[in-house]
Order: sequence, then C-alpha cells, then structure tokens
Amino acid sequence: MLQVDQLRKRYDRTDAKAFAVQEVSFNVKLGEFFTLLGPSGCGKTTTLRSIAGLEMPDEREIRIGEDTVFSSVRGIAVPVNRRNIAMVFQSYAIWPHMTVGQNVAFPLEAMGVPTAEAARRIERALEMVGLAAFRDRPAPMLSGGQQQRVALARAFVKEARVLLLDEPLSNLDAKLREQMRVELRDLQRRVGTTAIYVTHDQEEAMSLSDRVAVMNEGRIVELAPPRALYLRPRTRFAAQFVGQADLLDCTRVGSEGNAWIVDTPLGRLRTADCSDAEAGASKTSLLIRPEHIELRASPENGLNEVAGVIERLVFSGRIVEYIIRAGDRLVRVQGTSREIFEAGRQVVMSLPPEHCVVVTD
Amino acid sequence: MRPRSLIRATLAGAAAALTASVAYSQIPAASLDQLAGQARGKGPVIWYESSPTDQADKIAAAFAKRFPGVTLQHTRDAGGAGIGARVIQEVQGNARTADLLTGSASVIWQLVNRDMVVKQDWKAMGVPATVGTSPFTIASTTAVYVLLSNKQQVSDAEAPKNWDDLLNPKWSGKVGLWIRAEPQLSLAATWGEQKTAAFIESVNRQKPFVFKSTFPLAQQVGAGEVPVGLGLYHAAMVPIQRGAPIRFHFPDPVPTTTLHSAVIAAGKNREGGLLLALWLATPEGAKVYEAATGRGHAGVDGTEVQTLLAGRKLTEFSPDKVPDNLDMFERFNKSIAAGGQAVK
Amino acid sequence: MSAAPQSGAWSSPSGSSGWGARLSAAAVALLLVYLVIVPLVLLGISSIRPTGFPLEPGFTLSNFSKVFLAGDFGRLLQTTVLFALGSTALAMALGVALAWLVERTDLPGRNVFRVLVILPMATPPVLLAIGWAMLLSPRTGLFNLLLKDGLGLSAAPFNVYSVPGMIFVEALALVPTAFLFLAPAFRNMDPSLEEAAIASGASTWRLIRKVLLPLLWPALAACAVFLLIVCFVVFDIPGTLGMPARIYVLSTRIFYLTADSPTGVPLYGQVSALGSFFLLILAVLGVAYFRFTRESQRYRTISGKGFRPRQASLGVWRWPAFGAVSVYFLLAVVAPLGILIWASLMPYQTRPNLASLSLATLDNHMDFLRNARLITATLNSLTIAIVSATLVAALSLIVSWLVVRQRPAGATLIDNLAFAPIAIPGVMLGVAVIYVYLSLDQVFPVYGTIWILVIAYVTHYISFGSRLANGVMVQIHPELEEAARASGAGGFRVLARITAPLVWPAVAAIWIWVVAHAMRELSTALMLASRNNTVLPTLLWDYWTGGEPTRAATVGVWLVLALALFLALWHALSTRSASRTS
Repeated sequence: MLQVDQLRKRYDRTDAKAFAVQEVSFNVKLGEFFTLLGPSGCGKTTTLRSIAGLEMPDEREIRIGEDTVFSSVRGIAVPVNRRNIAMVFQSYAIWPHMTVGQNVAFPLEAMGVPTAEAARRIERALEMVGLAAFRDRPAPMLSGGQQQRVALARAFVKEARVLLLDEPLSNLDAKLREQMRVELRDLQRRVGTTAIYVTHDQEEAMSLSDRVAVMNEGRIVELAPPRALYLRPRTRFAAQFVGQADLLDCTRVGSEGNAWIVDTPLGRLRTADCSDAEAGASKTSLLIRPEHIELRASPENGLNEVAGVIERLVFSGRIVEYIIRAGDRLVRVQGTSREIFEAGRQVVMSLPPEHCVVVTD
Repeated sequence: MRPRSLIRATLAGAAAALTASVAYSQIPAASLDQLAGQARGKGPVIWYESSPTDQADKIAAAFAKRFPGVTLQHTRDAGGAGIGARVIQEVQGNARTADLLTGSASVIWQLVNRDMVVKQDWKAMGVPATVGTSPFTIASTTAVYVLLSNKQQVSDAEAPKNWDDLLNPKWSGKVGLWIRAEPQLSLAATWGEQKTAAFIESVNRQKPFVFKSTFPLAQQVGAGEVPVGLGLYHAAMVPIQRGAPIRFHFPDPVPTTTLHSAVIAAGKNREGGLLLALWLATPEGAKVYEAATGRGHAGVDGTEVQTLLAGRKLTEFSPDKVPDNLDMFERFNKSIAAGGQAVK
Repeated sequence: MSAAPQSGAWSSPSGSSGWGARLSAAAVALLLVYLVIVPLVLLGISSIRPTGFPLEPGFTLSNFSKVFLAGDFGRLLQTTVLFALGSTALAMALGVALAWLVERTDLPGRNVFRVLVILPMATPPVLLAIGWAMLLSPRTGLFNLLLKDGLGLSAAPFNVYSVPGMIFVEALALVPTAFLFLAPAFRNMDPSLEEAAIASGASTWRLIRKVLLPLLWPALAACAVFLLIVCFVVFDIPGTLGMPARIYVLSTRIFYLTADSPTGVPLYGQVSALGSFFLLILAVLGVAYFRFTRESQRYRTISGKGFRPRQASLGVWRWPAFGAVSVYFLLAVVAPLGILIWASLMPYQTRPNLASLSLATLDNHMDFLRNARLITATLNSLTIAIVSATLVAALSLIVSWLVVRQRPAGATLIDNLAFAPIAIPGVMLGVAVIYVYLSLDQVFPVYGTIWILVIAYVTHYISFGSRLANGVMVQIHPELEEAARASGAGGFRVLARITAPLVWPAVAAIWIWVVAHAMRELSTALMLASRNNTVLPTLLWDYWTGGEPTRAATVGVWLVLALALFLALWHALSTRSASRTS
C-alpha cells in the first residue's frame, strides 16, 4: 500500500552534509500497522510528514497505492490535501472554535460529501470511538483522552487509505495511554486501514505494531516484527533501544553447528543460531537481556555458566533487579519475587545460549 | 532660482513702516465689475488662505453678493508654511491649484522664485504703493501684536503697557510667548538686530511659557494660567468677545506682520484671483474680512484696526527684506526656543 | 513534543497549501509593498534635495548635516529617548495589568472595563493634553488646586508641563493600544501551562516570571517596539505639554521645520532626514524583535489540545483589584472626559471652579450640531474610518498569514515593510501621497477626495495591524492548519474556516483601533484637505486654531460618543466569538 523509496531530506538547503533523513526505504502492506521508532531527532517525524505531504523531501519517491505522491525524479509533488491520507497529530489539533461534531465533519465537508451521507459517517465514526453522545459539545470542553478520540474519529471518518499517527498518545497519562493503545489497535484492525505510527516509546511500538523500523540519525537501523526485534536484534543500537540489554564485547573463536563460540569478558560462551549473522563483521557484541539470565545457587551443567557475587539488589515488587559482579564486570540481571537472593551472596548466572545473540555495532 | 539682487530690484518700493491712514483713490468700481465679468465664466475662484472655514464662508457670501456669478472657493491651509508648499506641489503635479494665495511674504517669495506668480501693475489699477507692495504682492491684512494681561490677576496699574514692562521681575515665570519670533523680527526693523536680540534674552531670563500658536496663548492668559503675554490682537479678541477677562495694550512701537496676496500663474481663474485681491484692498472688502476674521487691514480706510492704530508707530520689515532676514529670524527663533542661549 | 528538525516546523513546501491562496496572498503583499515603498522612496529623495521638494533638482547631504549636526540634536534625542522609554514602560505596565485582570481573572465588572479601557482612544491626543493641562497645570490645574487646598500645601504638587507630565499623559493615551495588543494574547493562553506550574508549587510571582511572561513574549515585544516608535514620532502630547516649559523632542523639531520654518516653505528635506533616522531606529528595534522571537515554536499557546482559558481567582484581592482598576479608570477615562465636557460647556477657557459654573452654556454644542458642514464631515469621517479599518484588518490578516505561515522568500522584507510606515512622519506621508496621486490624477482621480485619506490611513495603520496580527498568528499551533490540510482542505478553506476564526479577536481589535484612530486623525487630514473631504477632526482644527478650544472640546466629546457606539458593536462581536472558543 505504501512504498517509500530512498527518501532523503537535508536539514536546510545550505548545508549539503546534514541530513534529517537519508536512504530511508520501506514498504508497508495493506492493513499493516507499521511503526517508526527512535529517539528524538532520528528523523521519524520528518519521514512521516513527508509521507503526509506536510514536508517535501529532497529525494526520491513515495507511492501510496497506485499513485506516486512524490517523485524527485519525475518532478511530482502532490499537495497534502490531495493525497487521501488521514493524520492524527501529537497535539490532537482539535479546533477549539468548533464542536466535536463539526471537527469530525470537517474532512467530509472538504471532500464535498453530501450531508445525509456525511451525517451517517460522522455518527459511525463517533460511535467507533465511543463519543456519540458528545457530538454537540464544544471541543475545548473535553478531557485529553476524549480529544484524542475526537482526533481519531476525525481521521477515521475520512476512510482514507493510509492513517498516519505522530506520537498521538504521548500527551496522555500512563494509565490512559495503555487503555488508548488497546483501543487504537482494535480500531485499526476492525477498519483494516494501513497505519504508520511514530513513537519514541518502545513498549508502545512493540505492543501495537506488525513491524517496527528502528531509526537513528536519519537512517533505518533495523526493520523487523516486534518479537524478532526484541529477541533477535541484529544491531547494538536496536538492541539497546527496544529493551534493557547486557552487552559484552565478543570475538568469535569457533562454531558449533549454527552457533558460534565467542570469547567475552565473562568467559567463553556459546551463542544462539548465528546463521544469518555477517561472517566478516568488524565489531560484534554479545547481547543478553537481563530477564533471560537465570540465577542459581550453584552450577548445574557448566553451559554458559558464570560465577559472580550479588553487589546490590533493588526490590520493586514484581521485579527484582540485581547487579552482579563477575570478575571485573558488572552484569544486570532481572529476576522475579519467586526466589530472592540477598546481597553479598555468591551465585551462578546461567546465560541460555538461545538468548545469547550476536549483534553488530 | 532667481538671484537675490533681481528680486530686490523687482520688490522695490515697499514702505518700511505703515503709518497712519493714507487716503488713496478708490479702485474704480467699474474696473472691478469689468474684471468680474472676465472672471465669470471661468469656474470658481480658488483661494488658499489660513482663516477657519466658517469665517471664510462669510467672506465668500459677501463676495458673491458683491460680484454675482463669481463663486469664491476657500481652502484652508494646514498651518504656517504649508500653504505655499501645497501650491508648489500642485503646480509641479499639473493639478488644479489656487488662483489667489494669501500668506506671509516669505511664503510668496518662494513662489516668486519658482516663477509661479503673475506680475501686476498695481498703479494702473489705482492701488497705492503702500498697498501694492511689489509687482507680485498686494497687502491684504495686518496681524498686530499686543501685550496681554489677565484682568483678574493683574491690576490695571501693573498691566504691561510697553516692552520693558515684560521684564518686571514680578512676571518671572508668568510670561507667555509665541515660539515663532515674528513680533520680535518686526521689532528689529526699528530697533536693529542687536537691541532686539538683547531684549529677547532679557525676556528669556523671565522663564517664559512658550506656545506653538498665539491662540492657546490668548486662551491661557484668559484662563489665568499665564497672567501676561505677548500675543496677537485678533487671536486675543476671540476669548475677549466671549467674555474672557483679558486686556491688551499696544506697545511702542507696535510690531505688525502684513499678509500679502499673490495671483498664481497656473490658476484657472486668474482674473477672479485678481478681483478678490483688489476687493480685499478696498474699504468695503477689508471691512468684510475684518468682520469675519478679526484681522483688519491697517493700510485701508475705515477698518477697525486702522482706527486702533491711529497715531501709533508701527514696525515691520518690507517684503523685499525677507531673504536678508532669514538668518536673523532663525537666530531669534532658536533663542526663544533655547531659553536665552542664543545660537549664532 | 516530537522533535522537529530545524526546517520542519516552519517551512511549508511548495504547493501544499494551494496555489490559489498563495498567489492571492502574494498579490496582497505586492499591494502592501506599493503602498509603503512609495512614501519611503519619496522620503529618501526628499532628504537629498536641496529644497526638499522631490521634483526639484539637485543633490545634497546638507539636510542630514543640518539635522544631526545641529548643536541641540543630542539633547533632543536624549529627551526623546527618555520620553519614549518612560511612556512605553508605564503604558505596558498598565496594559499588562489590565489585560490580565480583564481577560484572565474573575475581576468584578470586567466586561464593562474591557470596553471602558478603549474609550480614551477616541480622543485626539491634543485634547487629552489640553484636558490634563487643565487638571494638572501648576497654577490653575483643578487637581492641583484641590490637593493644595486639601492638604494645605504651599505650592501645587504636580506640574504637567514637565517630562514626567508628558510621560504620564502619553502613557494614558497609549494604554488602549497596549491593551488591544495584549488582550488577545492573554485570552489565547493555554491554562494547562499555568496549571502545571501551579501544581508544581509555584508562587504567583514565579508563575508570572517563568511561565506567563516567556509565553507572552512575542506579543509583549511587538507591543513594546510599536509603542517605542510611536513615542518617537508623536507630537501632540509632548508638543502641548513640553513646549511651554521648553522641553523639546525630535517631533517638536519636525513641527518647527514644517510649520514654523522662517523660509516660507516647510523644510521637507530636513524632515525627511529625521524621518530616515526614525526608520533606522525602527530597523534596529525590528531586528531585535525578530531575533528574540525567532524561536517561535515556544510561543504556541493556541494548540489543538483545546483549552478553557483559566479564570484565576483573585480571592481576597478581588475587591481591592476592583478598587485599583476603578481608580485607574477615574484617572484615565473619567477625568479627562469630564474636563472635556466641562470645557465644552464654557464660552472660553477658564479655570475649573464653582465660580465658572455660572458661565456654563450649551451654546458650543448647539453650534456644533447646527454646523452646516457637520453632516458631511460626519459621513466622511465614518466612511473613511470604516473602509480603512476593514482594509487594514484584511490586509494585516493576509500579510501576517503569509509571513508567519508561508514564509516565502522575502517574507522578512514584507514584514518589515508592513511595519515601516509608523516611522514615517505624518507630514512626509502626506507629501508622498500628494505627489503620487497628483501624478496619477488622470488614472486615479483621488486627490482632494476622501479616498486619498483612506490610502494614507491604510498605509499608516497597517503597521499596527500587522504587528497585532503577527502576535496572535504566532500563537496558533501550525498543526491546527496542518490537520485541516490533512483532512483535505485547500488553502482558502483553511484560511477561512480555521485560521480566521482563531485570529478573530485580533482582527476585531485591529478594526476598532483603526476606526478610532482614523476618526480622530488630524495632521494628515489637514494636509490632504480640500472642499470635499472635510472630516470631524478638521472641524476641531478650525475651532482650535480659530482660538476656541472650548469648541474643539465639543467636537472631542462627540467623537468620544461616536466611538462609544462603535465600541458597543465591537464588544458584542468580540465576546460572541470569545464564547465560542472557551
């Protein structure tokens, strides 16, 4: 449904070197929920706004469905109001001088939809977000969550082919955010619109998306479904961005089937399946997530077992976080309240090979 | 621009002091009517002059009565020197401009320099040399300066009656002056620059109140904010006639400023302009003007101002001295403005 | 807030807001450029002509040397700067206080106060000066006498003929303008920003300093810059109150050069040289303004997050605040209007006291109402005021939208041009307009008609309009318009349905300001006066220089009444739209 091809945009026209977005390419399938994830300034919003038509990239091409909406090669730049997209803004952008109904009606007015049909669609959109009773309420008299829903309704009423969302939940409080997340995903699945979502919150990205593109400094660093991204990241940056990570420098010293044997500051370890890892990659690290490390009182089978001492622990109810000293390294481990080890205790860390992933820098 | 000497030559013959009435032969009424006939078909006579419009309306009404078929259209200027500038701009912009302009000699001199004024032979029309002050100008009205005082705050005995009375320490901080040194300039025609400059500085030591126009000066004397002042006769008459407690005295000599009229070469109805100028210099016209504006013509029989000034010594420079006096005028202005620190 | 790269939030890519809208805006910008460039060019030419008349030959720099090398220029400048800074500071302080109290608190009677603040704007400043002179002149001023007798003092405590006196009266004259600048900005603030600060335990002072002031900065800065320039150029109040005590400012010099030059013509050349100086100051202030408000994303207070403008509760300060505001109104509105009414009932200017009461008469008013030219003058005044105000409001809105939103190449230049006319001395604006329309008389026969006044006023007042519109336009979050475009709306629809309603309070403020100023404007009306375009202030002038300030006061009273009617209308319109947004 959406094809972004080698997108490139400079920060300003005078500086040829500074790019907000460079060589960004991806394809999004019909009905897919696709997220651009990254820290501030990584270019995710610029990319989204380029798709929308609110910004003009310098190169190359963007196609929505059958239409090329932007092409630097062929000199095409369709204005935003003719791209048949719908957008939800971080600030919701609800017009304060109109009622809820008028806000939602606006896109239909702009399209020239006849009144009767428009009324029907508005009603349906408001029902979808649960605000049917609020139609005549002036927009400023709504809570943040309600305004968010009005923004959604306004976007959905258009029945556009692509829905673009620019960090729409970041202004809500935590509880509301979680609730809205679920509602948003349900809505999108029900209607079946292709959605492009921008966020810096990795939890949000994981829970909502079919695929996530991690961006940094204007480029896409990694693109994968959430699970693969979390459990089997390929790059150090992505690994650290989507979750907590223990990273150890490693050098390959051998193989065992598809797995590698690597030397790390914690000793020699066996990795997970590395068949798709780059053979000649320059710098590699071993990634293990703190929650995958098991703590044992004594060694059991000698596979990827590292001895250490608990330096400190933080008990926060559901999670117990340990800092363990092994040799001259500190390792973070996350355990549950099922078995709590006290500080100062000698323990053995078991690093399951299937969770030891080799990542490149 | 013409060289100065040429101007002096052409502006010859004006009197340095207008003394008491000069009986002169009337401009024949017949010739006025003849002129009116020529003016009749040429549209309204456009007159630029500085009186308020409702006063000018009265003059226009009398004019229309005297010369049926000739309409007078008065335009009021924006104040001071603007009236000449307006004519210059209109002539340069090829737009309809005045047929007659009435203003100070310096204003008219600017137009003369730009060849915008019609030359006249006053003598042939029966206008005496004291009124037809130059081939380009005819005297139309006289502004007279007087010493004012508030009747309630100043007793008759103390009231300033001559120049030195202004220097009485009693009036320190209580004297009102016009910021424009017109009366002082006219005084210099008799006293000479040095004495006048010294006098200005002496008055400055009184820490006078300075006004941008003579009208508020008179009104403030009437209100009692400024008990004494050097003001303009017809400006003071306005509050006096409404009952304000102001008295006036003519000093010796009495400074005057004559306003002249000039026919504009680019005017569409120059005959009408000339007609108006001549009529204003007749006793009948001058009286109409005086009745409407309070400003009379000291050189014409039968006007109030002429009666008031009978036997008094008047002082004013002749129009041909205008270019010579520019610098002195400027110095006097600066001296008043600076409050005693005369700038050379 | 998602990070936007530097070019992101501001730049608008070509074509994405509709060619129609952008072309029309460009046409409007060209019109503006024409209106402003003409007097600027003539000013420049005049300043290098020996005679000052632009069409007369010659080239000289002596105008500049005569003006700037004159011995007293330094002192004039010093006094002017002191006057400008003092008046601006006082006017801003009062304006901010009033705007905040009226727009953001539960001050009792605030709806009435909102209208009353604007009322003094109807009075020509020269009358305001005269009124205050009658109240505070050292010997006969009413307040002075009351204070002196009441407190048993040996001399009157106040002298209005002084620099503090000038500052006081000028500030009072400027407060309505400051209020109109600031009230829309206050009204549009998002209370969640204040609430966040208060929730974190901030005291009111801290709230003001850390949250409110920074957010209002563009409007405050625009207002301050505007007022400063006005104080440099204005003449009526410093002239009337300063000249008697020989306190001179730069505009006194201009008045002298125009009206009192001994040479017999106004010295336009030197006036233009001074005018260029004002323009220079304007440029400097303008650069400072742009620099300080460049980071405009920070100032977006009208966001799509929707808001209920928070009414701060004054609590125990409620009635003391009411008292303070009432005192202000007594001083700023009731006192000068009262003295004007008094003067209009007097046959000649007298000390206001019981004895003079016996002189009271309605003659002035009756004469005024019977004046043959009254109807024409009133109709002319109304037409000129309404047409000018509407044109200025429309032009300001469009130009501001173009400059703040579209930012095409040359946007800064257009914005500067829109601001420039305020620095052009009124007399040069008049001269410029005269010259242009004299030459164009065959094509545009406006010389001598009321339309030449409309042209002059639109040129002059676009300065205020564009500043005010900018101040509010900057507060509107661009996402509100982007959302409209993303919803499928083209340029015109966005402007009409989204932008215009949101800037409506500013548009209304511009409109009423121009109406008031156009109805009371005097010097340009005189310069361009002819038989056919008499306006009410010209009648005032007739009386004033005819030596009848009491009659001039009468016209002033009627001008205030006329404006009061307009204000009622304005109030109805602006509160109606305010209720829609809150």
